[in-house]
Amino acid sequence: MRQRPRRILLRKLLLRTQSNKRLWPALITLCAGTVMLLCSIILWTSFRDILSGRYDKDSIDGTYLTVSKPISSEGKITEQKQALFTNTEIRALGSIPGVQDIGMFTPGRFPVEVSFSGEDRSFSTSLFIESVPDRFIDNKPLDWYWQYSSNEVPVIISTEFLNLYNFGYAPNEGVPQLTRATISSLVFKLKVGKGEMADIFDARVVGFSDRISSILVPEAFIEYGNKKLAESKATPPARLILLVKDPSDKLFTEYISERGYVANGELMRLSRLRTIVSAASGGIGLLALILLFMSSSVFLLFAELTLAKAKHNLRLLMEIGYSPRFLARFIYIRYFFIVLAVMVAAGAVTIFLQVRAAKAVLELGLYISTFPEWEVWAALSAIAILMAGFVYRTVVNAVR
Amino acid sequence: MVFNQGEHVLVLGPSGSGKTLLLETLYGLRKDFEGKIHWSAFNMHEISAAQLSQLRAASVSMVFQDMRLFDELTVWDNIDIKRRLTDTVSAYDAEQWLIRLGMKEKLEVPVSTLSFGEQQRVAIVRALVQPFEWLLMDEPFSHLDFFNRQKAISLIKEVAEYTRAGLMVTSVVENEDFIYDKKILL
Repeated sequence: MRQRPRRILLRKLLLRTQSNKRLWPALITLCAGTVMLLCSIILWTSFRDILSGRYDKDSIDGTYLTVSKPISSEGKITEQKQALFTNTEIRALGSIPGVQDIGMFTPGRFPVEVSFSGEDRSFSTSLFIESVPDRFIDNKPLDWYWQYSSNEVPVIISTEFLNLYNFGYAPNEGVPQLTRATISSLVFKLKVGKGEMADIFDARVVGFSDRISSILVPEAFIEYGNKKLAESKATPPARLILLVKDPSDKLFTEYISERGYVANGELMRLSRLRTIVSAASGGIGLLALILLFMSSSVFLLFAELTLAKAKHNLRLLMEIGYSPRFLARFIYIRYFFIVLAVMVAAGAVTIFLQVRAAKAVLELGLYISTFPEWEVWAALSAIAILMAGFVYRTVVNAVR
Repeated sequence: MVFNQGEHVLVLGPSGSGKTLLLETLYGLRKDFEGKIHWSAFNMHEISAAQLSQLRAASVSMVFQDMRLFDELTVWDNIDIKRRLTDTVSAYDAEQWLIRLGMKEKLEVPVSTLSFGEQQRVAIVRALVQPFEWLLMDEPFSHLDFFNRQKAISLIKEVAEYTRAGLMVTSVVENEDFIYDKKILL
């Protein structure tokens, strides 16, 4: 006699249905609704991550903001002082909730001239140098220090300067474009001060900053120069660098705009986008919830219909000795695994989308997590638990 | 009224006298009765669903008048789904019992295609493939011819004697083949 497993017999009696064609669309819609809801959360968390620079290893913007005052009238010496920050203003900025650190740019108050002599080309130009506290420097190189006896001065320049040279100046003038490695291998002559007081150092570019648009040298070098060679008195800083928890925070952005301060343009634009993104993710989330409600209703209706069709067999099984608890468990496990499969599929699709999104925004120079955040998993678990609960209630009601 | 283990009881009465009602009440299918029914420790008024299924799986078995088989299953699957509930009767024994009742050629046939007489024989074997202290049978031979009735009664007696179980049979007429200790007239 051919023995058939009992679960096969029970499935034949209790879970056989003619309406599988209705089940698949319900499951696909349930999966789509779940993915949509998770995507709305991903949209929200990703934008939050972009603004907070959480995964931004190079800190293009990160939570670091450069703040300056607007130049209201170009070239007028009388108004120059207004573009500087007073101690009161710096303290006020530091006291805004969310501002975690504040640093000042210290300019060199002495003449600086840099020159380079190559085999076929040489140049010389005067420029300015600044310093910021070391903790604000992104990708701080190991050799980022200077001491009085040292003849070589490390320099960090803004990546933007290199870009300007490579994509603006070099093609125009017909000179070769330079890689970071090439620039780092060149040794420049750095002349600070005037006349007899002047000192000459070797200068080498040791790093490139995405965060700070300036030519930076170690603080110790600026201190030395300002002490020995300064031609003017110390002035308050014209630019500040801020470490901000959430640069799109309303309190912070309002403070900045009310006083007319100028912060990193792109970041502030992203901050304004936050409202739009929040509304968009909220809208998608709402749609997803409606879709979830409808698809889960269809799925539960399908389960109810299947169990209603099996009511006669269910009663008969109980009459020959099967316990309601056993039968409920048997049916519940089947539906539980269907729900679980849908949730696993939704999770897999979400991971795939997140990876693709992370790659796509990376090309735009933005950084988000390549794996869904805990909020996504929490939402997925919540949907799974809710669905499992509803299915349990449906099964228990049918078997009772 | 007390029924003791191993007794054979005949419930006799004309159609509509309440024979089926009595057996269904004893089996726990109905609770709309006055008075008290006890199966050993179980009070049938207060028995829980879990206790009732335990009683039906291990102590009291029943052959229904309307058979109550699963139409979508084969003869063997109808037996096996009950047998697997307790696994106290071997598949070999169950198959042999079906063969004794002349169902050898029908084992893999859906019960929906069987005659009433054949269905009744399947229902009888199904009631036997579990441990029981009492076997309730509601007009179990009503569709069986003389020879098949003899075979069925012989099998039932054999199994019941082996387990020292009590038998309760309803009938509209006196049954000469069924030897009883008690008779209830309705």
